[in-house]
Amino acid sequence: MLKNILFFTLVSLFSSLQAKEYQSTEDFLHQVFSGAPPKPKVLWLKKDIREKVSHILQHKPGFLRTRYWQTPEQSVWVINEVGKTKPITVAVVIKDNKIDVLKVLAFRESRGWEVKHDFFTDQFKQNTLTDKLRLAQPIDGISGATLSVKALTKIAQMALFFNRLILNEKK
Amino acid sequence: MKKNNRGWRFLYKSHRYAGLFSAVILIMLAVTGIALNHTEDLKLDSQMIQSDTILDWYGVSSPTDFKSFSAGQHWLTIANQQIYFDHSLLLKQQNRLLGAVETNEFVAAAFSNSLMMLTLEGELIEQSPFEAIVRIGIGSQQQVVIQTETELMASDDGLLSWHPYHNKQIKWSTPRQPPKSIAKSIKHSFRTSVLPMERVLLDIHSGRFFGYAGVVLVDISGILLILLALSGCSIWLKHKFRALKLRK
Repeated sequence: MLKNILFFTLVSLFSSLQAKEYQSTEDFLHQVFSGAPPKPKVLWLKKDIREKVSHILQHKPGFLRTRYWQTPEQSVWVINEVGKTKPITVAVVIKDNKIDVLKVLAFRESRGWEVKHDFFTDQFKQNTLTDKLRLAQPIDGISGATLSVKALTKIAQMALFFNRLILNEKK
Repeated sequence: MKKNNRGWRFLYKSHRYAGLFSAVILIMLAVTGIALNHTEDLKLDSQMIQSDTILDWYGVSSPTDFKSFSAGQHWLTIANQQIYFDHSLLLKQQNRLLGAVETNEFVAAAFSNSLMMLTLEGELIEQSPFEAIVRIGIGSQQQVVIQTETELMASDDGLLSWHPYHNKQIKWSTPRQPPKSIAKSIKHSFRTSVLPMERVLLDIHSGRFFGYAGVVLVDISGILLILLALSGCSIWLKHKFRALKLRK
């Protein structure tokens, strides 16, 4: 009986909560590119890029390449970053080196879901990246959602950094 | 007067024994409480219990959902939502693993709603969403082939684009028995990766670790603490008044 109670507590603690997907990547891309998204491209995280991404994330990135969708006007990045224990999937649209849209596509944590709301994500609009790879405009936090706010801020920094890299590659 | 003295004597004795009785539990509560107050500093949530005795006490058994797929020289295994590449834990909280294949350049693993790409050394390159996968295989030209609920598709550009596939020559990935050494180390690794120190300390703090009796014991200690505070105050006041009387 005791074992069952303890194990039940344990299982309920660790049972993965159903991922809350607000919008699929495909739907988001169709929405952004008016039904005709371009083919995806990939940016490989070479050693020097990985070091800078590690600086942004404050830990090593868990991936070696990232996909993006690009037209002459804009680029779209879909990036995952862990808030406390589970990854948050965020899409970032960048136009003229500024964030045009930042949207939470899937949130899997049990706390901090407030970051999905427009009142929070609108703060990222028109934000740019400084030379120190930080956001030019500060982001106001939400109490009780500190780690989710941090994760979204890091994703915004990464997307702007990646966008800068692909634009420099073209030059 | 005598009755009054008997009452005070009872209070003194009760205070002493209640103090002694609750001392052990109080120390336990204090130690666990202080530790829990510094969960993040002490990394209690990421330190996993390794003791077989405690794991057995919690009823943590070997993974029930255990499936392995060979990908060339390597093995991908899912054990209760944890993915292992050979002996090493790769990712946690994954959906159903459906298969894995190895090409000349990378390893691809299929889940019910995503595709994972790994280097041949087991480093994660990318995990991308992919709906309705039924199984994964490898074509005659080293293409990664996916069968979804509606069609057969192949990719020959590193999983970036997909086209319909009609060739019948496909080697589908199917579950296989992994080498004993891999199965053993994964089962051990799984058991020692599910119970954080924080959970155990919380259970000791609340008494739940010792079952219902433990909870009752902690409750009794709580009540005794209230009584101790009241009896302590009464004794202190008694001495205070006596001192005042003597001064007069």
